[in-house]
Amino acid sequence: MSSRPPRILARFVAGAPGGFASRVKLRVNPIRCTAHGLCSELLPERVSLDEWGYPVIDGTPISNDLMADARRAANACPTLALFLERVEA
Amino acid sequence: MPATAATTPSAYWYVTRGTGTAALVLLTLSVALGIANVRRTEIEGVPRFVLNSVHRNVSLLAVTFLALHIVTTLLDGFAPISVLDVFLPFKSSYRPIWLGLGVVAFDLMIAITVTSLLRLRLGYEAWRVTHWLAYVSWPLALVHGFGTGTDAKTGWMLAVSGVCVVVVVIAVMLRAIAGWPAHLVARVSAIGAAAVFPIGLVAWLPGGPLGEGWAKRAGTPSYLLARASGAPAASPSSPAAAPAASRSSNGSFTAPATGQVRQAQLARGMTLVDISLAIGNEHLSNLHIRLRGEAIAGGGVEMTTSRVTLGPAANPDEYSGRVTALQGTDIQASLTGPSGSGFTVLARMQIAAGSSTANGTVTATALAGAR
Repeated sequence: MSSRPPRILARFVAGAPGGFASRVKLRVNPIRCTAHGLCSELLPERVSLDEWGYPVIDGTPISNDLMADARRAANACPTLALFLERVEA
Repeated sequence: MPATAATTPSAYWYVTRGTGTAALVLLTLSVALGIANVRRTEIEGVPRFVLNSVHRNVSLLAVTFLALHIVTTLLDGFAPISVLDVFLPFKSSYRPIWLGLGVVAFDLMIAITVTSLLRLRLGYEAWRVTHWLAYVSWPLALVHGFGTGTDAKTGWMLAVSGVCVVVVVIAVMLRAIAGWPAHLVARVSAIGAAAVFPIGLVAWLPGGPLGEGWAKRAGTPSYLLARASGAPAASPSSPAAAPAASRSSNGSFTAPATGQVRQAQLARGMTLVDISLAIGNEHLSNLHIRLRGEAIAGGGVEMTTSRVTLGPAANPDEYSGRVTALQGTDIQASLTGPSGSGFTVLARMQIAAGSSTANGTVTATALAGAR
């Protein structure tokens, strides 16, 4: 079964004014994730790893200064399990 | 060695060979790095995401070299390969199978590259399935290199290819056992394929690309292979007496010509036939024909590369092109020059046995409707 991947907002957010950024959160699809751990290397500010190497995400909204790194982390995920999600205000 | 510096093949040909080899090495590296990523290989002091980025960048570099390889092949113009042949396999008149394998490999690489660049939009499954095509593309590219490569017979190219095969076979084996025993049939098949491929290569190469007369068997067009020999011409149609010169207003002319034929042995059984003709009573007085290819026992060459130039003494390269047909010592060439003008040149020569002197007639027909 392949469901549609979650809508990626990183690109959209990148060009948007700063106010937008505070409403974006990092999320992980736990079913897809296979614990490669690249996210924690690229965004240690928000991602730590549990004892089996799976990411534990800090759910606070991504600030502007972290946005580029967050986007990189999401893009680098080998299984596309990590994504940025816009949170309704 | 070539008799003169002017007899070397075009620079594009060297670039084609170099970029083809570089692309093979980069693709090998790309496959190995991709598998290292899947296997979560840890390298001391190198974060995982770096290995991931290097895989991506090496792959893009390989595609870049591949593009150069293809563009310079077209620009070189020796092999009759059209732009369509670059994308549609097995239709070319030049070594259709072996060129075609490279074309399939290229098409697959386009698919892999595009899906990777659009990975976020495509989703994981579509990307992943397409990415597996790399395991098809790589062996096709390698066999294409053996089947068409000018350097395939050389020791250094065999060594490069051998190392590439070893690296990929080991990498594929390691990939197949990572995550054992899920999908067991696929894993065993992969291991089997990785084991059979080098054995097949070793069995095929000696009688194939490394064997005698591969250029011909590989499907090089017969007009590129026709024998241009220093031996006596069996060419009854050649006029015995020097004909009268004639000339028309559009630049076409027929005139007697005399000159020298030299044959030089190059490395690895390759030979170069160099025919330098002086055309009587003409402004375009210098016709220089160079044929390169595998030597034929008893003299001559199975032509695989040619270069023909025509021009006045002050500018002997004014028109240049290549041989389009070859029969005995009759040579036809298509030449282009300044502002799109051009000629079809037919040189009919008699070359006495054991002699290096050529006598004959040169007919140049101006190309109509040149752009």
